[in-house]
Amino acid sequence: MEGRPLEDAELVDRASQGDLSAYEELVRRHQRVAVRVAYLAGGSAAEAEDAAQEAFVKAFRALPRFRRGAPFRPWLLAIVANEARNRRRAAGRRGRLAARVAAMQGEDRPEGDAAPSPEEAVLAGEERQELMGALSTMRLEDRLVIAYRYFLELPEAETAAALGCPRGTVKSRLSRALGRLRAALRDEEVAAAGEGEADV
Amino acid sequence: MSRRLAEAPDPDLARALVELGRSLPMPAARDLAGPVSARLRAEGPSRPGVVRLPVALRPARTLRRAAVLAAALLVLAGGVAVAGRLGLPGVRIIFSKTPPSISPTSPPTHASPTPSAPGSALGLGDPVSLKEAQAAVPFSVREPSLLGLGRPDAIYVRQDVPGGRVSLVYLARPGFLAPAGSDVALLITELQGRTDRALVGKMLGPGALAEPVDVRGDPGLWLHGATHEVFFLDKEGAIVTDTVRLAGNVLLWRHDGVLLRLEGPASKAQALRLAASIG
Repeated sequence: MEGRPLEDAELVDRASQGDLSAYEELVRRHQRVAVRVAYLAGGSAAEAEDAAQEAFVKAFRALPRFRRGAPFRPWLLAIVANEARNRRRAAGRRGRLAARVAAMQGEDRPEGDAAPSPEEAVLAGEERQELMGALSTMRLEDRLVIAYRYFLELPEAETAAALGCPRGTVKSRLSRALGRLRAALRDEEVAAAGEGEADV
Repeated sequence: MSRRLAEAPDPDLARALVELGRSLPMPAARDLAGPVSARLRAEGPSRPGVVRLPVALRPARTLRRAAVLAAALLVLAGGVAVAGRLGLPGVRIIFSKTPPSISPTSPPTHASPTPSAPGSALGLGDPVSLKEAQAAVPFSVREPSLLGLGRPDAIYVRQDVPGGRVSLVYLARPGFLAPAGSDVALLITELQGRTDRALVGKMLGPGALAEPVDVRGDPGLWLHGATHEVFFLDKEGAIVTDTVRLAGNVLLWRHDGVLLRLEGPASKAQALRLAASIG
């Protein structure tokens, strides 16, 4: 292609006229976030890639419906999340955040991160465990808004698209979800304290 | 610990969640461009797809909005009137300011399932014998009997429209030259369109012309001067977008309820001779 990278909009225009190489570039640009959204929405790491791939195929076919000038990524993520949701329902999965707390400790640190001090590592590990524990008690809807917004760090428009809700409601949903997360964290502490006493 | 997080200010809680997210194992994103492209190519490289009618009409509106040249609009009106007079009420000619940038014959980046079959890069479906093609579609598959043309070098069937479509590929031969960069000289596409609701649109660049023609008593259109994109309505009521594979001249006509499209003829006279020889 040309010297400068093409905007998504230009690639979408080309793709909608049948230019598959333009569409391939769009896929490459957005496959990472697509797989992650598929993972969170579908609750299956194993199926995330398949769901994302299917979504990309469907998105291509739906390009005639794409509103010109609109950002491509939210539109794509809505299709991805929908595909993953449908698969989750078909498989009867509850949509867990599939990561296991145990698997998170000391693993999968992003490359290049400075190694934490032992104290930091312990604290961070405990904090994550508590957060995961609290999140796991919450409703899928609440977990997803938190996961899209903070785990994937999606902007509001993309979070809304992935959730399938109006953009204006993301803030309030997130605020409610965080409130419930705080409540779940308090419950967790109470439960932990209860267990502690029983053990003694 | 939990108490601290539970009572932490929003930004601190948010930060903890972002950190948690970054530490979570996420499925690795392998390259999806290859598999996605391969699937789209297998189903037709240049077909954005079958979409439901009410929604699918939007791009047509968009295109129409883009038709800014007064002259083109006059021709557009002429084209519609012509179509009506020809008994092709669904035919719609859409003119755009710029020719569509279509690359139907761009080399595939992935191995085609049948690299050896002539025209396999055109995304026409599965290569079959004439007998298999006939068995796969509910209409009679026809081929031209023009002297010197001979039999097609490859036949493809694609079930992307109700009833399926058959494509006949002719490689270059004396009297039938292939355009630069291709070895395919002629492409004939046959598919079943519902007569009363058939919608055929051509998106023509500036300078492209649509001329009504008579193909042995059947109504047709001779389109020349630019690369084309075709929209037609299948019998389920869905619009199918299809790219003309061979840039250049196209003859479009209907015979016995079958929509036929001839791509790549050297001249209108040759196109009409070819069409007339299709029994």
